[in-house]
Amino acid sequence: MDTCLESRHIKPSICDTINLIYQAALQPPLWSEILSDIRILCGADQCTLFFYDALEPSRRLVSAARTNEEALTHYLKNFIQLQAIQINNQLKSLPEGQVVTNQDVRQFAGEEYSKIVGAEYMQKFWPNLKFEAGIVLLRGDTSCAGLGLQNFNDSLPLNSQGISLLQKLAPHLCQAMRLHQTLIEFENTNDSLKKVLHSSKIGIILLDEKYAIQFINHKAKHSLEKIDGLPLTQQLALEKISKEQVNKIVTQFNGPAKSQSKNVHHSSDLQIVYKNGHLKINGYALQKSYLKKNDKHFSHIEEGYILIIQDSNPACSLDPQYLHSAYEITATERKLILGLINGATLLDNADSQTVKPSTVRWHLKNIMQKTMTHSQTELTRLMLELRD
Amino acid sequence: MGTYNLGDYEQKIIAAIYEAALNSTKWRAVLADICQFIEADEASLLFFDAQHTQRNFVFTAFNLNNDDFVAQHLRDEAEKIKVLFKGAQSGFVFTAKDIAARVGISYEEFIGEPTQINERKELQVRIGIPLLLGEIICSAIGFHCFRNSAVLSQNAIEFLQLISPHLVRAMQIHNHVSILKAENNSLIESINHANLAVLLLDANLRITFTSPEAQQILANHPALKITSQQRLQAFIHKEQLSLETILTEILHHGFQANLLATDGISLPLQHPDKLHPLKLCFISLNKSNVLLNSNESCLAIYLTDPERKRFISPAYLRQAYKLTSTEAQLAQLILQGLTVADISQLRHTSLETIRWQLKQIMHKTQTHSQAELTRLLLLLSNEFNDSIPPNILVDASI
Repeated sequence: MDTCLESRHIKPSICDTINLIYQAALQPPLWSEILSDIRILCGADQCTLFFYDALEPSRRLVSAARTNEEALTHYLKNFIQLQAIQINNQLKSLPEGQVVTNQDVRQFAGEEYSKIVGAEYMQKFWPNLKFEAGIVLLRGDTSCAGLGLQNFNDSLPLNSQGISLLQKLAPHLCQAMRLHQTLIEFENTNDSLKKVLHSSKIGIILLDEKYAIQFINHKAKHSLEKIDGLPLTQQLALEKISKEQVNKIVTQFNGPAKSQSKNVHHSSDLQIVYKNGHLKINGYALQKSYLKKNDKHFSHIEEGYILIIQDSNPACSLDPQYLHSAYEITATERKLILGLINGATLLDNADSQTVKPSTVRWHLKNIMQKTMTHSQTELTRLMLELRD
Repeated sequence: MGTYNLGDYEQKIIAAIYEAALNSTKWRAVLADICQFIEADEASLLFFDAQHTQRNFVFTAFNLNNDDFVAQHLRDEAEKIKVLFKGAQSGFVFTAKDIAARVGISYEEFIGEPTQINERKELQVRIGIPLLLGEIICSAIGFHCFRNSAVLSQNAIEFLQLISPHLVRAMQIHNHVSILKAENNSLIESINHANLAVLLLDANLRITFTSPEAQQILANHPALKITSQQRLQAFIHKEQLSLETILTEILHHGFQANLLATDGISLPLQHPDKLHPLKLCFISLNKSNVLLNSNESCLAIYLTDPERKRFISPAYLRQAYKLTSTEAQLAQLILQGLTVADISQLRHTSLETIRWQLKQIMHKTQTHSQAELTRLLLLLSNEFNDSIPPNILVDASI
């Protein structure tokens, strides 16, 4: 499947190599093999590639045709950032995708490549090697990537055919790095969105078409565990909410989020009762994707489901710092409020704190004055809205 | 070394194929170029995933009406293509003759209905190439000519043989990227459906995402605004300063011990017109290292407006607590923060009646005070009433 078919007009090797470059972009462990092909095609002794991501060290990448795992690990740990910064600074005017020789580097940066990266670097990673040609493959906002060809000190320099061949591969190497970058960006954004969903006050579960859980936030996990106290695995969650139930509760959704709420009184939400409360679960079927306008993807049947879980009796907490800065609520007062929003009555508070009911009432009056509320109901409302 | 030279045209087409792999709007132009080069009259590229249908597409060089095809015929054609090319090598170029030799009949006869639609009636498949053949996924490209035109030349076939592995790879790229896009899409939909009021900010403290509910809150609470430069602006100058301090602190240090022990930090923003301040809750999106000039989201802010009017589905109250529709509406008004006296006035009903109805609701919901009832309703409501017509709330026809 990955072999390039023979053609009369051209030798397959370059065609093959282009193809494999993109395969490596999807499967980074293959880079070493591809770099080895490039090295042989261009007639160099070594070929190296790096991808640097400023934000996330785990997404950085380095590979070489002749691999020395230890050196590569060391490079990732200690040198990649240095090199990325130097390339960005000293070779600022070098356009993406342009092949440069040592001589060109001197023109762009004013000094040789070995001087740019420093003696320690050269000794550690390229012993007995000299820089022959290189390409800046990507210059993103927070990332950069490059490729280099090296020869042994006593080898002949790279010939012009080798360089022109590298020139042919350059646009593809650049595009491969852009692909790598795109994949990383999506992963990054998705991680951020998941983090946001995890800190939500309400439970959210994402199911795919086959009702397998794609994502479940902390709150949803916690709420579902209440049902019978068992630890939650994917199967268990699905047993608790059967497919039929999901089908029953999802409202067919087709259009922007806002238009949906008009139909809300037609949906029948699911109620699951547990020991001292219940869960209200409603769901939506995802039917259409909302991607950027210039991306065309079509869909006509459900792509998945969103379940939203609300707990009638959750453990509510309040940020003491916020209560203090917004309403000057003291620690004692906060304790009383916490009791109220977790379902206790005023007298329960009196009992548990071994304080007189009159003291509790006095505190309550102060709290209501500070929060500009006029009844216990109003206070409960306000504090529940402000819960964490 | 002349043999290493890939023709300029081939080189250009191959580069264009990989560009289209990342930006699917470019497929039409690529297909048109290929058609022109090999003298075909039409080309169609299809991708079909029986499970994740939002990733499916058909691109053609000249016919613009592909959406209908995807809706009505893609599944049929894809399933038959799977059978047709079963066991074949991905990227292998099949001529019409090869296809006929495989199944005994022509491609059009084998596929049937999808090839009979108007746009394709005049066309005949001359080349078919399976690109991906999986259990669930299927992708192929076909080149068509008008019925009376000559067969494609040997050169054309060789050219297609040259580029077919790249088309295979391009479909693999689409397969990979579109899974991530689909996940991205469902996560954003979850935020919208759960009515989360969230803002995302990048390392320059510019807003990169505002959820619909966050927009509603900002429209209703004047304590915070988004400037035309996509930055946050608090109404009170002093509070703007503390907002800026917090944002920069979080950006540079994350939630370190000296800043906060818990996992969040919050800030009230006042406005003279508003009784209660707007609550901002900050979440660091935990990047180990922050660089300027990045478009990536680095921190999220949850907004809470305590005065926001909530809405609870009356259907749910009827279903879960057997409330009558009158009681469900009354519960709605309680949730909105109205007192018994307010409701009596609004509905022209006596205080006693409202009190009695309220007692019924409390009995049915097993709550013992108005505060407890409010708590229950609030915890179970996740919609806000700006899109609900007011007549649902105060309907006289009870």
